Amino acid sequence: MDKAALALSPGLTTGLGLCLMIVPGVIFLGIAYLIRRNLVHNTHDFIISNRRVGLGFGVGSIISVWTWAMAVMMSSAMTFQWGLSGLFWFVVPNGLAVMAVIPLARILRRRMPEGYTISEFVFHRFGQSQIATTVVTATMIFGILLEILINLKGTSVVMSTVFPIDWRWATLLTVAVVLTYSYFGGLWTAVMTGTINTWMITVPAAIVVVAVFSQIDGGATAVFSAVEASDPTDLSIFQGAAASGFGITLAFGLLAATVADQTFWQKVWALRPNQVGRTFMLSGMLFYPIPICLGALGLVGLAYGLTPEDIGGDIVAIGPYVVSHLGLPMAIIIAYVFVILAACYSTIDGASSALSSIVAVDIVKRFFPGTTESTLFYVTKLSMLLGGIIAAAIVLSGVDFTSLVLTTYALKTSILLPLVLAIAWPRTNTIGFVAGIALAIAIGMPLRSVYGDLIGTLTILGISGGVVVTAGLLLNKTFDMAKLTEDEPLSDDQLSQAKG
Amino acid sequence: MTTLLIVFLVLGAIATALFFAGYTHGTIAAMRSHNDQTVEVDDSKDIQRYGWPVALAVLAAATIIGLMGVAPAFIYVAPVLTIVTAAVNGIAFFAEDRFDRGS
Repeated sequence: MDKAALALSPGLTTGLGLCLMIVPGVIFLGIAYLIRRNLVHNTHDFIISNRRVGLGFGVGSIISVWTWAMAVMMSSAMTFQWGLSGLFWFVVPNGLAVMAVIPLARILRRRMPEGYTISEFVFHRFGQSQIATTVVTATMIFGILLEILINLKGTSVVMSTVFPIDWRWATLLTVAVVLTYSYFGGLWTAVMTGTINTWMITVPAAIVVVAVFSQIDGGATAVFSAVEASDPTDLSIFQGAAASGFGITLAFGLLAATVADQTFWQKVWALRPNQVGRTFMLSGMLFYPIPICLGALGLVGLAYGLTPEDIGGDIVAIGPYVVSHLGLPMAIIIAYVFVILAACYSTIDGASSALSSIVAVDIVKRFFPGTTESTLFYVTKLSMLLGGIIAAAIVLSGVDFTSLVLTTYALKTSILLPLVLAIAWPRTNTIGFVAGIALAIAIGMPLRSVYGDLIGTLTILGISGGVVVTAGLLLNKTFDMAKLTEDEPLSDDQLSQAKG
Repeated sequence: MTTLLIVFLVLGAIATALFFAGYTHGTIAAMRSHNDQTVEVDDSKDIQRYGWPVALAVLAAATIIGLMGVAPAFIYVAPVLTIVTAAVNGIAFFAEDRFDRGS
């Protein structure tokens, strides 16, 4: 297998690339229009889908929102860098992170049947503490912005690599397409278009991977033999270097990415109560094959003996590079681009929808309780546009958003255990919650910068969890979780007054 | 076009048909029930035990990745299961009615 034989497929024009980006958007806009007419009449419908999301839409939307554009490429990239050990450590915690939500979701859905956001839970759980609520709300907003940023960046990289499209135009077009259709139907649109995106990710991904192996002389056997001849450890899942290099850190990061993410909590409260556990279980299980399937493209890169320099210096490009340089039929390359676009669109509209729920419940209704339903409805919708515009502006400015990544990482990782304990352990108190997060960041982040991700992450987790438990044991006060049901001040009626 | 690719195209078409049949069913059901203003709180028909299924799913994923390094044929397991994901998503739209009835 000679990498000299690889060449960019002809016919990948600017017009084709732009069409591929716009066509799904136009179809989704049509769906959003129907949703707006039939399912969305007020803010309550817009941000929580009247709590009527069932198993099918729940599973489809969770899979697509969890399949980031970067994740589609990262599964191939981690295999390319670490062999099957990289794929193992990238994939296994990914599905587990979705299923880890189940026990927490069951508790909160039972205790707060009319809940909207995780910040709202913290507000009532900790005696309306502004500090605790502000920390959690800020974490959610930063996390959402980062989700949009990363997916915009990933998609613009792929579109500008595969097609002769300027990455700035790709960024602008992506955000314009997604926000246009998301604006009309809120969560229902995110859920219904996200489910279609799951189809656009799964079936094309499987066919693309099989087509890639069919295109190579000798197929999977030739790839397998070439990788084995080059470095047999790439076919093992037991390389310790992958675990210490990124695996353990990623595992905790992924857990924080679901448990401390309003995108998932919004769905917990939007699902019908008898489908919550089943939906997250099935989503985690059915998610697993997607990154494993796409990870096989990394093996092809290894078999050809490609180096990061061959593919432009960034290993994330290995999947797009393999698909666009094997001489595959145009339809297969287009299918792969659709996989990336579907992953990108679904994550951005899911994140935007989550942002709208935070703005409505944790900002407008909390600080301006007299806001009328019609005003709230428009503010909520506009917040989605604002989030997308801010994210696009950051990407287009070309600034290094490392500081945003680090801030979000610090907040999400430090909040993980305190949040889990707040839900599951009644002795968790406000002092422990706030001090745990603050100390974890103050001590853990400097250690992380000196000793690296693994030590830093373990320190943050140890301190945040340890402080919460210590404070809980010392103060010895038990919170009555039944109060969450009694204290829920923002009922469904308050966000659906306009309903006729 | 290889025989294997043709088989996958057929499987993909079947999964697509199942998916969109379910999607249509789910959309109609969503529109029928959207005016229902009752806040459901009963989760008794939801799964009650999840520890073992989660552990088995994690183990299955790890095993499939491990097998990809044992023999080349196992590389095709994940693409098959990826198509199964789309099919099961479609079936889930019909299954939710069954779960609602508590059978």
